[in-house]
Amino acid sequence: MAGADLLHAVEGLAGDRPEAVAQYHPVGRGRYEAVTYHRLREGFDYYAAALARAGVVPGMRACLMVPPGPDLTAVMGALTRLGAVPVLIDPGLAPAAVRSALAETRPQAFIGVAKAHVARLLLGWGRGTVRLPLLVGAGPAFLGAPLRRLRGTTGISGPSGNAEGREAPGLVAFTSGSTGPPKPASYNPGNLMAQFRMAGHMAGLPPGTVALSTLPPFSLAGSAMGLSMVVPDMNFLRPASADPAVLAGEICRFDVAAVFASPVVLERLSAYCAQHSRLLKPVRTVLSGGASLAPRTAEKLLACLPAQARLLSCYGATESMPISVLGHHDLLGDARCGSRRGWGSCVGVPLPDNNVRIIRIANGPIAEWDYSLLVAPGEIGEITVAGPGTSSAYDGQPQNTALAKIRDGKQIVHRMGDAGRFDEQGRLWFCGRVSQRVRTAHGEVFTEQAEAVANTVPGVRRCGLVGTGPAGTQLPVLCVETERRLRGAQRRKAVTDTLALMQGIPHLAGIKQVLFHPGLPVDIRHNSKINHPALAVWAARKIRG
Amino acid sequence: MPTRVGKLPDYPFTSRWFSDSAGTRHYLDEGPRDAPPVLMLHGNPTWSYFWRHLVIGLRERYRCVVPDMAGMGLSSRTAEPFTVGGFQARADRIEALVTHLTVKHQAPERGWTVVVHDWSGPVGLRWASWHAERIARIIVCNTVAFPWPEGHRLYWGLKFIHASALAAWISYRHNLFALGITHQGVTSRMPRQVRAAYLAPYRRRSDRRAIEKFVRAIPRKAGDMGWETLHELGRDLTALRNKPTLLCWGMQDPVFNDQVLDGWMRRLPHAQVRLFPHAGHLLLDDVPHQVTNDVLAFLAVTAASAAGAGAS
Repeated sequence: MAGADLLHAVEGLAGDRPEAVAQYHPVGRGRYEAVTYHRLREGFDYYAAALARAGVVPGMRACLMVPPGPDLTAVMGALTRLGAVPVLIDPGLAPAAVRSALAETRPQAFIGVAKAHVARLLLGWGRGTVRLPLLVGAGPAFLGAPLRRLRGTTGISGPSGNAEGREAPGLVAFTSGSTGPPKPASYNPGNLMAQFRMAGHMAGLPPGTVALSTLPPFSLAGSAMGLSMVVPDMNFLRPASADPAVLAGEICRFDVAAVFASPVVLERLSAYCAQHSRLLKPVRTVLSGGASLAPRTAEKLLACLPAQARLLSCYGATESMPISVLGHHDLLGDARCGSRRGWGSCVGVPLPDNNVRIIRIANGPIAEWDYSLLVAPGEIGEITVAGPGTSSAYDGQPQNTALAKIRDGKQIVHRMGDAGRFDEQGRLWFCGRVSQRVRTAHGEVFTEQAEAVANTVPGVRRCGLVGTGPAGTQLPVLCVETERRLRGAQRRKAVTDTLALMQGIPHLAGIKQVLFHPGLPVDIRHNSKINHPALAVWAARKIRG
Repeated sequence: MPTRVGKLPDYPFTSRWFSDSAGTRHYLDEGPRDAPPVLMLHGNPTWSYFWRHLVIGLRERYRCVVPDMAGMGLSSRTAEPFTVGGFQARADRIEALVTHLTVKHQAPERGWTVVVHDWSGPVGLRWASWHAERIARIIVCNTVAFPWPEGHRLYWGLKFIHASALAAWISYRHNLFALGITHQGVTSRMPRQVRAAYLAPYRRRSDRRAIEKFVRAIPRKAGDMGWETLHELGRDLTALRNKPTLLCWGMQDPVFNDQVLDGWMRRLPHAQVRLFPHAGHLLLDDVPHQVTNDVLAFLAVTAASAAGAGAS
């Protein structure tokens, strides 16, 4: 079972170092509570007993909407112990997306905090399938059965489930939906632990390191790796609005040596530190994940970190995490030059366990792996990954599975849907989504290649490349959102600079049309991935009108 | 004469009768003759109708024996007096029925599973603890068989009837307690026909003498008749500690609340616990399928140990 990895890891740690702090979590009014590994293991017993009494049985799917913290870790572990399948959905998705996701997975149990249950009732999440609404923490009983009450007051330990050898997936995690409708990636035995191990290997953090994560998956991974995780006092539904002052305060207060965060949070944090001339003294490692880290953000962030700190940008997807990692020396040196030359964004060297290969772009499903699928070295194609942390299927979606997976003997190869290429040094370059490439009469233009160029122009805040017209004769249109203070002449200068850069790059010379956009549509989660389909509709209307 | 009722929803069973010196008893005996027997004992003011969903779910694989208590359901109205002796007599009546079935109807002497609810908890478990050799498994639903926990407060509706003879008489006159249970005992809406079925044996005033007497016989404090019996019962439960036990509990029960549940969990720490957070006192009316499935699963899992107990 995938979740068993988390369970066993924490149980092992609780045996070795029971008094080590697993998590510091906010309890309101600026106070934090330290939870030891021993307490975390007790949490498994606590919730396993309550869940069993509530009727959670092996193989049952249980949607989990609990913010990161000891409760989330404990409920995950308890579900695994009972042999149930945790279903993780990002509640920050659009309500309609959550509803359709729940309608597909058909979870019978819904475990959440009061707020999640209110949303469930109001928005009709899981209506008709959820028959076990279970409440974590306090709240009125009509929202769900309070697990606290189900456990009773007697100190009886929960059942020791044996769920080995079952066919059900260990865990179902929905993709964030920033690249299309959310899809349920099902994790096999070992998937999750492999991901944790790779993340640990990548970050190189010894057990006992204090770490802070604004990314929920890393919070769980941290507990499995023996780190002391600080749960930041923030709204995990809107990570983009996390208060940098609070984060900086937490980092200094707990001597946080490692920070896991998405680029948008890091950007806010670095802006705050620059403004208040604060140095994040204890930090040794910063790991950015969720979206690609812009060199500009990296520069600003390094300015507020001590000299010996490392900054790592990690590339991956819900289906396979992490795939590759890029250090800040590369990011700010060579990689930036490549971006200026229209190569896209460098995402670094694949991690040793991952087998990353580039295949020719194809629209339909590919059943069997074949070496004739590979592109010539250095050419752009679709990025595929096979490794121990790669999910092998979408839960209950054979069609999507067929479109995204290739069978290669015993291994499953995952097609990322991202276009990319390898350079001579074996670094992977991300060039944009395959489905969002612009197909002009003179060849294909990949979005990230053009956007990475334009993003280096002073005055350009962010931009998105879309095509208008029928595929094959599309007109590439660059939609630019400028920095807010920019006016008339400066704006025009930004455009002419951008276009001049484009003309200097052969494969981007076809871009001649620029539109100003007041605020580009972006994903809610990371507040940085451009919503290209929506932008294309906008651009088409603008051009026609 | 036994009470007669017409056709009832979800009650497609054959009524059987068993007479002894104290009157005629109604009972159901469904399922294969050679299957493991399950004895389901109802509470007050329900009757064998309460177990209908469970019987339908179990009768393919288990022999379901469901008697109506003396003075209740379709049994004759010659009820025992509400004294300690009367209480004992009720437990003996169960033994009489079981003996009758083993002698006349090929029921096994051992390997019985006993299911209790409400008032049948004290009575049924008294019988079970005194005939522990017969018992293979125990299933306990919303009941009590030990002194009320410290600080337990009786539900106001019950307290009224319990404390005041006048209230008891009014309740008796208008069948208020039975009517109240069909409203307060469930969290879902009870269909009209089902409510009518629950009340059917108690339509005539003379048919419902036992109901209020049962309520008034609830021992609440030291000195109450039956208080000592509850203490004894609590001690006797230790005799049942080696029996596989399932605790099914509707958590929206104002009388058998979390405190009582807690008492069960402490007294039967080996019990498998299944809680129904949204079910009321009549949990089989609120969540019939879940309870049935859980009981089936429990019976299947414990089949081996039950067979062992039956053989030894």
